[in-house]
Amino acid sequence: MILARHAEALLWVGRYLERAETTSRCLNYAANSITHLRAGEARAEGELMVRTLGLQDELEAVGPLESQPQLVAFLLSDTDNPGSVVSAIVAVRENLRSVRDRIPIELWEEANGLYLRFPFLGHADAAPAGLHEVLLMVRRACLAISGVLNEGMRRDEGHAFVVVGRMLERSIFTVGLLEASHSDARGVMDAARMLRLTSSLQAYHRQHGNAPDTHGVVRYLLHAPDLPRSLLSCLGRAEEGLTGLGPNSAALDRARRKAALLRARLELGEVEEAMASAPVATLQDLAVQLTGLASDVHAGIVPPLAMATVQAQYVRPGGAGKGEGAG
Amino acid sequence: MRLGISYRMHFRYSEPVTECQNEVRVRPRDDDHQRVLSYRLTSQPQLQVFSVHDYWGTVVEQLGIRTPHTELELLAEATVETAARPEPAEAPAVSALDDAGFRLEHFEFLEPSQHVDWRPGDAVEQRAAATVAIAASVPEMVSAVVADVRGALSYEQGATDIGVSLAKLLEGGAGVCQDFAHLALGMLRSAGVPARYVSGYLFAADETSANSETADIVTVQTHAWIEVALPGWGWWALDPTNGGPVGERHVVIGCGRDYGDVPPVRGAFMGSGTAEVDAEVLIGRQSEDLPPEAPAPRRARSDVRTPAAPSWSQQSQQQQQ
Amino acid sequence: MLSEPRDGLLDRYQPGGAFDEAFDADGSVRDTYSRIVERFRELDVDEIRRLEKLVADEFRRQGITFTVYSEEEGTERIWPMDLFPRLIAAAEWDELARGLSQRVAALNCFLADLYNGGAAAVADGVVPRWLVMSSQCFERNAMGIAVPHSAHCNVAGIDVVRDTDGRYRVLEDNLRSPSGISYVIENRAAMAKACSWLFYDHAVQPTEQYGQMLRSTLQSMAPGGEHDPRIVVLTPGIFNAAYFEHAFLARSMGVELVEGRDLVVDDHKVYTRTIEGLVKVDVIYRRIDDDFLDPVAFRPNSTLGVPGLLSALRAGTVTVCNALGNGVVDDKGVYPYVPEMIRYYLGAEPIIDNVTTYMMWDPDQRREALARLDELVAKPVGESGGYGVLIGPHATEQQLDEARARIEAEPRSWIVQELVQLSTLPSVAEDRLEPRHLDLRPFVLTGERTQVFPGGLTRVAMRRGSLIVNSSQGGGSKDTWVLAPETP
Repeated sequence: MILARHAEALLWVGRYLERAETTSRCLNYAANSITHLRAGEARAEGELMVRTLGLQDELEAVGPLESQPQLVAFLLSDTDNPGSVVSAIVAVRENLRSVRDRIPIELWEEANGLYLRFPFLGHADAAPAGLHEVLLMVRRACLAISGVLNEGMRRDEGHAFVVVGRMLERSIFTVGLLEASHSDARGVMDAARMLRLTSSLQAYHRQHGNAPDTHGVVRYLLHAPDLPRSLLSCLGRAEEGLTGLGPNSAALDRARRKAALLRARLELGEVEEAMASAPVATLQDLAVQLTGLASDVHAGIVPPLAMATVQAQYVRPGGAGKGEGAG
Repeated sequence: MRLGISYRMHFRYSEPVTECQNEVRVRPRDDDHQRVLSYRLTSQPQLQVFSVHDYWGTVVEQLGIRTPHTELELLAEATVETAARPEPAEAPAVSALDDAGFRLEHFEFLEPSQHVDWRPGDAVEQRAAATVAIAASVPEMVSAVVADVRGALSYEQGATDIGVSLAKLLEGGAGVCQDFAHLALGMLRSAGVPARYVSGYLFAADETSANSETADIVTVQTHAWIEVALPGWGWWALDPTNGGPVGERHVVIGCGRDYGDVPPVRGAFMGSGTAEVDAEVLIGRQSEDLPPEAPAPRRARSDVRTPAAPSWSQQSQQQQQ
Repeated sequence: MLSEPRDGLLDRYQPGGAFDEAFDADGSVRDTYSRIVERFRELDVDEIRRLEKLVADEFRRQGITFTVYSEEEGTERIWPMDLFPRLIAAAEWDELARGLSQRVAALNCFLADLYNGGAAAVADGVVPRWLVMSSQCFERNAMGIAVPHSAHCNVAGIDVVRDTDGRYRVLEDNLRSPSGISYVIENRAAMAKACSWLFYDHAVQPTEQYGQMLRSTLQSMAPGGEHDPRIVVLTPGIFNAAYFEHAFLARSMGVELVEGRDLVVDDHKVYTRTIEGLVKVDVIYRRIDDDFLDPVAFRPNSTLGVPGLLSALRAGTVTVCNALGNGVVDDKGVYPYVPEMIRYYLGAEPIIDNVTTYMMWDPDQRREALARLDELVAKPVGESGGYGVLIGPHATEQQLDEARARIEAEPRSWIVQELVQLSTLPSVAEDRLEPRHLDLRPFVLTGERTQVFPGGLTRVAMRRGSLIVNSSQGGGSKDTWVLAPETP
């Protein structure tokens, strides 16, 4: 019986861990590709990246993209941007800290170690701040954390929530990537780009040869049963995690049903059919479904009301007058 | 005098409240001068009640609710038989206050407390010293202080809040029964007279005129007055708000150092909204020939709606903390 | 590999005026320390620095930190551990442990008497009634709340020091939420990793059993003698200075670490909110002050607590450890009466003495103490952790005058004590070992029975001559070894 607050924290550990990894992968790609592009194209590519990560609103708060260093800062070190790598690392650590009595010590040590070595946070132990080195460090640390999660953590409810969190985040990214690619103003979809950003290029080449066609890649990223970042396998693992929590967590039934339904729509070809006629609308609908699934998981945990304050209530003798110390 | 009391408290919340816990001190006590013939506490929605005596001997009823609600009504109903409280038969000399044993016995009622926050040398103490300077006995001191408090404050609802300090109170010059009591306590204690706060009900149309009531039933608020310890005699009850004696029309709930020890209702609720409280006491005189019975409960219309379960939806992209 | 000694770390070691635990007045090594001193003579300063770094890295990696509030934002710091351990011989420890159990037993008797027994000791004048009534921590809401085994204090941390004669004396009682035990255990783990060779030839009593001891103590506190009670540790949250310790204790007991918002009261019982609904809690080991426990009964704006918790306590459906209201005996105004409590409740003479203390509310004692305040120590009665303490010999004339005025104005709020020259031990300074002052906080657990945890937290002043050992004031710690009895 895991505390609702712990379940929520571990769910966010999964989501932010995945986000740290995804955003650094995107940043790596963007940093490499933009250097070969002309100014106008570079800006379009930067905007597409922001859109892929679903950070349009956060970018608006900062202002329009002007330069590559600005994009890097926004995605890597901007602590006001909750989608930046640094925010994700801080969030992973804070959440792990609040559950540190129930996780393997090594898990905490790895996350804490990354936090302490990460530049921009003002720690003495911070690593050199070259973009490539930082991204490499993040990637290695995320792999190490994943390693502890997979090999060093008991397959208990806490573990299940981390997995569900990761799979939710991952499926939201994959669908977001496809949607952004389909509605890119430049009107050309770069199949290799989609594969690179999901770390699926090699796997695709091995299975389908070296000339990726756009439709094949989209189908592959949605349906491939053996690809770790395909929507189908993410949903499968999320559903597995939710089901493993056992029948007593009845409040999560709604989320379980929704995950199963979405998976069935993929497996039975319904999504593929819809993609053929209206790809953008279909992807937008999938994005809405996934957001709904995430809300259902959160609702099913029923975390303590963090936002609600405890307020005092009084009755005063002798009539009117305001109360004291309402908090 | 046999009195029927019905105390209704109604809380309205702007947002549904999922959890609410309260401590209620509204049950009249049993003592030498009053007897509780019947008592019950009911609520809408229904609450779980646990009842104990606190450190000061007052009955505390602890209430909890975990059903989402936007309104909460508490209704305490009692029938009480009261007798007149005696006036002091002797007039102990002022010097009797210095007796070490007497002072130790009443230590808690001689010290400043949360709401009776005078400090040595402050305006309250100076005012008290000037007021009691020519008093020849302890009862004279007490009467002089009560008279002075009535001169210092005018009765005005809404002029003060619960946390008001004595200094602010003197500055503002207006308040309700609680403020009259606190100021009197501060002056008395600073002059070396042990004094305590009494919470209760008063059968009078108006807190400022205790004896003029002829109506059968009145609608009022809970009331507060004081008791002072007279050396060699005991506790003497006085009502600084109306300057009169404490008689058959006063019904005691309990006493303590100040309001903070005997608040009628203290509670906490979980929710983001605001609360509006509306409380009233109905007191009526009952025939002593009839079997004791609580007044027919004047229930509020039972239109307390049970709202839908709160929405737990969270923004799905970013964690809220 | 140990390098050859090139500069004796202890060659010029000179104990000051205080009692040195390792060396006697002639400068010869005391028996207990003979082997450890030998080991340190083999070290040089580079080796010491290397070991210190090993230990610090280990602490930082594990996030064994405490939070310093003084700066704008709370920052996490590691607490420095000095490498030279403190050793306590078996016989010496036995005597000390007996004294500690005796003291905690008497304090528990007093708390049970005060809150549940009609306050006989107060009526009999052992402790003045007014003194109790005027204590900020006398908790009127604790009256009549049932406490299993009358064990009001389940975890006590008693601060002891050794005077110039080497005698142990109690400096301060901590019966609310004494912290520091996690450092005791982590210090040992770090020492064992970094300097395992130091332990050779010593039979040191282990420390890792604390979790089990605490768990069995708390188990025995379940209401109604429940055999398999559900225990939780209640923390104010991750931003609390001692959060690391709270998590440590929960993990080492194998119980849940909860915050106030994880708990809910329903029908005067306490539950945790889990993904499977509400699950009842029987025992709460809380590390939150009384005032914050329940916003209904205490501070109305506390968001750390659990609304309605007091009603569950009054209904007897849950036990809160330590019990409500223990702060009354942490009040330094009550401290001078503890020896009398021992005589009154246990009919025995105190095994460990208090430090000589002057009560400022007594006019004669006040006059005498204020006249020679420049040689004494003045302490506010309501503080702990060294806050507000004035050390006469280290104070300026102006500070002394201010203190005198404050004491005259509020005599109930102060005690004045004879200055104790805390004992010293060799500790790592610039390039050698130098004497540094230290104290000891042993932990006493009481449930169905009383156990004294072997050793405790040794705190050490980091600067020469400083008597301030508190972590919040720049002190450090030492691993504390209680030696097993010599086998014949």
